[in-house]
Amino acid sequence: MAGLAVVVLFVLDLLVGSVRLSELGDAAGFIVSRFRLPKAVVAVLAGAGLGASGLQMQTLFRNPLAGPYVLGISSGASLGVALFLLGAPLVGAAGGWLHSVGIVGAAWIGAGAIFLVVMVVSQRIRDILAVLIIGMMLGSVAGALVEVLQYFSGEGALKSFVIWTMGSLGGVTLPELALLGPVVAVGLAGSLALVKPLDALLLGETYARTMGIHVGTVRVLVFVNTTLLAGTLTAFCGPIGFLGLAVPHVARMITREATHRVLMPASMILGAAVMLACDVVSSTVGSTPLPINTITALVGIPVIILVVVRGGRRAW
Amino acid sequence: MTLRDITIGYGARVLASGLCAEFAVGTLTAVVGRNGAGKSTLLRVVAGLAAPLSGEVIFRENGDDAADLSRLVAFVSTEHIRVLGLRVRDLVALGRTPYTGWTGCLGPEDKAIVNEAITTVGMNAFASALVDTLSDGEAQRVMIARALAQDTPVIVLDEPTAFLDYHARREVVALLAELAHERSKTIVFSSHELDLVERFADKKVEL
Repeated sequence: MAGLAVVVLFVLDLLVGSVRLSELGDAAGFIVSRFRLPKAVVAVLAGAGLGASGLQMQTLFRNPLAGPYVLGISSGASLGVALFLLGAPLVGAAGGWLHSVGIVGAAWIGAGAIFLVVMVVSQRIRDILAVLIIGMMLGSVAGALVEVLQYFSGEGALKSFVIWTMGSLGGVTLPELALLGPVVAVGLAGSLALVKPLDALLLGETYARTMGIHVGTVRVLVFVNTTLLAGTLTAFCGPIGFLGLAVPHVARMITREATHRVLMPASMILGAAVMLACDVVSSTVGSTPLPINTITALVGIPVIILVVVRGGRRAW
Repeated sequence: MTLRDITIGYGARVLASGLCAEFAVGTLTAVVGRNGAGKSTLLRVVAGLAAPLSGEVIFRENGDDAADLSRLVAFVSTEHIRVLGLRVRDLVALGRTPYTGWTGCLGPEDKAIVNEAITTVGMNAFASALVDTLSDGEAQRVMIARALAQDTPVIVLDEPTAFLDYHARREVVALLAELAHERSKTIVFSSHELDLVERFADKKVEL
């Protein structure tokens, strides 16, 4: 049924936009295939990727409030991109094809760096709220550093960075999709491959180890998956807030299951459906699309508040 | 299972040295001693979670141990497990982790073993209950069922009676004695409950 919802929303996403298809006449096919189809594909990839990375982070940190955005991973990716876009012109780096690859690579490094710091901190501090606060602080530091970089940047570099920050699902071009698609697919496949060790980790590291799980290896793989997914998606679509945190909880509420065998695919499908729905809303409210981040915040934050009120802190 | 000349401790601080002990099949052994004497450390060594400073733990005489410890010894910690939305049956099913494929899906045989483990600890009526709705005593029984589902000859429990009221403590230790004697398990647990240890345990190791 959830799969059907994705298909329906996908088609709906192709049909809606700033101009009605019936008004477009002969141009309709061109608009749909060149603009709306890539945008819908990006929405599916982004929703599935954020849902999967949020679920893995919640299990890895044993923290129901973990997610790529709240723990500062997305901000780390933004900082990486800022360093590349604002710093590369200074050293005379080339544009073109290298440009996309450079943005993605920089986002991975930024996302990975923040993730590493949060992992080290969570080893020392067991209090899940303290870890969250530190994640948010790291995110804010990354944001502040981006502003410092902007302040000292030249006009040209600044312009290309500002254009990047306005990035949206629709801003992804076909050549970029050729890079985004395979990388996200690898991250999603990697997430599905980890369902069994993630299940064992629900009981904590001690139990996982005595059940024959190589916890260190699983940590590294979750790190790689999350950095690939959250880093790549932030690089191309800009930061998308709260979806990664909220989607796994909605999946838990709907399926009434806790095993990753069920939750991982459910979070991916649900994430894709929610992202498509957000994009449909974004492209129908006015003449210009509403920023996607605004809508995901409005959708995601109530779910998160519900989790906190229900005693998410106690339940882990 | 045999402990041969085990020394445990942290860094330079030795908690106990030259420990030798035999744990026969079908016996319940209690590890007793004051707080900080090294009970938990010894149990973690036996469960393969920590390495001893010296000495070795031998499970089989033919020396065919290292292959897969998760099929030889199951562990129950003192940690109180609470997981959002996890059911008793699914938690016990995690005990099958060493035997299942990459998805962790249970085969018919695994399901039978899981159901039997739940029945053995008397939690049948709670099989579909959420783990976070259980009392401490019930939760401890479920964790023991998970260890049973792991189908290992040896089960190690770190203070299984901590946080329980007297009735639940007595029930848990009696259950361990029953499992050792009737299922021929080698069970080692640490405890401060000297009266229960005297009454139910076949053997006592003092640290």
